[in-house]
Amino acid sequence: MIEFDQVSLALGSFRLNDVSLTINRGDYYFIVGPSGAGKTVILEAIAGLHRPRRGRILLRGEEVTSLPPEKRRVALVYQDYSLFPHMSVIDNVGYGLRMQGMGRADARREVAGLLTEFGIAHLADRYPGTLSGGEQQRRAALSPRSDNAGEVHPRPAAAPPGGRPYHRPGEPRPQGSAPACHPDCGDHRREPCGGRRG
Amino acid sequence: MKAETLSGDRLPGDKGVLWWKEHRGWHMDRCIVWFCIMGAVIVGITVLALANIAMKELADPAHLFKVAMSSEVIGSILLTFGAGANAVLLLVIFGTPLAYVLARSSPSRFKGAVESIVDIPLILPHTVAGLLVYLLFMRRGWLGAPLSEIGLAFEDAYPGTVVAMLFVASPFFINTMREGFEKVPTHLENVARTLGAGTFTTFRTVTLPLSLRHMFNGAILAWGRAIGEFAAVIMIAYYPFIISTLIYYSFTTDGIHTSRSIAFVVIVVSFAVFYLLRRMTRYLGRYDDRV
Repeated sequence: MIEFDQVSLALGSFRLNDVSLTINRGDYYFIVGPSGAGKTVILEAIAGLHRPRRGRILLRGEEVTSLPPEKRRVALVYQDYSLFPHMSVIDNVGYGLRMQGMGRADARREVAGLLTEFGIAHLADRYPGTLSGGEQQRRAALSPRSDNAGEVHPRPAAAPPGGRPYHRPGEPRPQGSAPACHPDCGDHRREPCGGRRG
Repeated sequence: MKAETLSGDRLPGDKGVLWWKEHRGWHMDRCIVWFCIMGAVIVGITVLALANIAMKELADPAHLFKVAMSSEVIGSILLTFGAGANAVLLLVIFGTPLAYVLARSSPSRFKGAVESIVDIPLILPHTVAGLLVYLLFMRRGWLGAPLSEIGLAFEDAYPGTVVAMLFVASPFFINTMREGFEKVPTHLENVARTLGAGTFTTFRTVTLPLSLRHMFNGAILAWGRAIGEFAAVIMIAYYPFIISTLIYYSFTTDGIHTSRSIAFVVIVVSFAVFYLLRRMTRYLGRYDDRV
């Protein structure tokens, strides 16, 4: 669950005043507004990249207002995918795992399976700058964190090839995890896969 | 098969055509031509100066060889390059964090003041810069006094050379490094943070690797500035002779002939070193950053 309690924050001359919202577990929540309205700022505040001046932010029932982003277990996928241009695809996907303390070799082994599942194993050693738009999307859409704790997308990315879901329906999801399933995920529409458990 | 296009034009690389004939049909933009002519004045001065000294020196290779092989000249060149590298190393260690803070902080009066302080060595005459360094690091100076007590003397000593070079070269490194950090999108750092990397880990694994090119360019610029320094260095450390001091000394004692030979040796060595460094860093940190 994600909760904003009267959150106000300021970034230069930009101000977000008294935002309150509650997103229940399993919900899909769309924030709509014109450019510069503060949609991304809200997402970044959830991720912990901005500290509010007033108000509280709660994640999974715990107050995280002053918790740094690396301790919040919330992943953010930016509109432009935000791939690290100096890392190969396999290292890009494995970055989150490595930051959780996994060794490079182990992370690569782990990620190799995911890449195969997404049909992009052949891109493993390529650099993001040499990928096509669709290839980049697929890489960015790969759940960036190992624990799937929560993921917020500023914009839906394309579904993986062949309409396969990000996690297959019926596959057990780790307990206590918020949805990482994508709104555009084809199978999700037919059958409420991991995304609608709330 | 004849190398030509469908319309019958010959293809470039066709052995039957001389390259200059191939390019004869190019449309030359008049504006660009004038720009080239004006630019040629600047390049021309450098080329003429180099050709001038090279012609004179190569006419007497025996003398040139004798000067180039003298231990005084070799020692001085090594000392200058070494002190410059030492200054750059200190700049990388202390200047990189400063550059990062400047790149990431929002505009404020305090930031503006710090930026102006960083630029001070750029605008000061070098003798003034040297005097500032001397007054601070001399035996009775604010920093010189306590440091001399622990055995670190700056006057007429290697540390004095390094600190003078560090002072004059610092804006070149810090400003280039700051530009590099500014070019790294903040959202890449944000993504790294949300993936579990702390501030320093993000800096080490994302920001710094993406700014490596700027770091090397800044270091090369600063090093070039450092080894070219003369006025600031002699104010605090006339001895040991750095290469500029040696040339000046030889110019005033031995005359033009020897100092010119030393100068030519320095030109050749500097050119070779900088060319190698540029080549080495050509592919460094170069990513196709459509992302």
